[in-house]
Amino acid sequence: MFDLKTKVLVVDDMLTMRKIISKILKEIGFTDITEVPDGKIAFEKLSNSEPKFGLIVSDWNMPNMTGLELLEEVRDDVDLKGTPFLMVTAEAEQHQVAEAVRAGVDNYVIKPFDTKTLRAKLEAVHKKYLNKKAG
Amino acid sequence: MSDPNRQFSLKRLEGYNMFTLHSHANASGAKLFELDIDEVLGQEEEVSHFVVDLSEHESINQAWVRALLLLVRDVKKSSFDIRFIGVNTQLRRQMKSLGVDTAFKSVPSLSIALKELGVKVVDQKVDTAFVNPFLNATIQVLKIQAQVEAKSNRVFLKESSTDSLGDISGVIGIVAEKFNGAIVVTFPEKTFLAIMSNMLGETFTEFSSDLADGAGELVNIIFGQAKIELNNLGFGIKTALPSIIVGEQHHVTETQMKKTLVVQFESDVGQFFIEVSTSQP
Repeated sequence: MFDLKTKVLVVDDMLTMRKIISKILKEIGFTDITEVPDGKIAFEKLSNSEPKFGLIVSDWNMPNMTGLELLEEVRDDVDLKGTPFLMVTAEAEQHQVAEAVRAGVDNYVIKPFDTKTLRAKLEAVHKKYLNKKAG
Repeated sequence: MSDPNRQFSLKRLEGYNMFTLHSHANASGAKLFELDIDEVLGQEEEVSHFVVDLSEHESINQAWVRALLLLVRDVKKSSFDIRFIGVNTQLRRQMKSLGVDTAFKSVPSLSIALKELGVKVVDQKVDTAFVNPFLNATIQVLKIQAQVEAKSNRVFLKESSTDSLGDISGVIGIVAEKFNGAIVVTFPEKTFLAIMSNMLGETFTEFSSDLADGAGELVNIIFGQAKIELNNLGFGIKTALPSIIVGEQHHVTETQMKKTLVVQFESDVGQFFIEVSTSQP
């Protein structure tokens, strides 16, 4: 599992959903959580923060820059491309998930989800991150 | 046709056969299929139109293209017809490049396929069939996201022109192939605050603008869940337009809809309602 001191960026245009995700992340034990309302602001935060964020949890459907566009920007950026990325979506449609996987998402979670589900997804994301790092 | 080793499933339904090609389909499975094609077509009285669902695929291997061409040929030979559904852009491109896009006639949804095949679907009572996925989704979403146990209680009709039964409503306007409609999840303030308190892990005693999008997000999540079931039932949901309405004695339904079906829910944090209105497009 991730080090619980990992900086986590939560990206969602809906305040309620940001709060729900943060609440669950806190229940898991994360302490350093930043919330932003869209992909554009998220990318700026990611690019300008030091130390770097170690995990992104992002909604799919957002104005200005969608979760998928954010993912593509992150994967195209030399400094950010390895950042673990979990996509949150309300629509369990396979074509969307396949699109995100092609773009390099590490995993996805479908709303609604509880602490147990998010923890399991984050464990999978972390495992993938370690595998990628190992080569 | 329920052999788990098979790479497809086949359901013989009223007026047509539903053939689903599974994601693990490979060349050896296509060979077996060719051997079994007479069985797939069925006994004389079972031969009928076919709908082939390829939604589990982004591309299919050439052996299956060949096998499905044989199916198309044999179905047409029996004076029936065939339509393909769940064909995404990538797969459509593949079909075109292989020159089989005319033979594999694809349509956007099951309901369009059945319409083109002339299969008369037993008229679903839209209100009832439409509302059940919302009831299931509401119960599930509240349980998972807000740890609230709810159950549907009473179902009744009300005049659409009358006010909503709650103080805070999340509304989804729906455009579908068979109908237009609106789903309203409406909460008395007390119930809403309790749900939000559970969802966000804070205690809320009065409504604030910060909480306003909570109703909309709840309806969004409920709709996301319900949409899967609705489209599996062939409703062909095209778009959904969420909005939030707050205030006592508001009403949200379009005036051309005469009656609204109301489902009353009881939960451990109080009652709330789902209101469903539909009209023909």
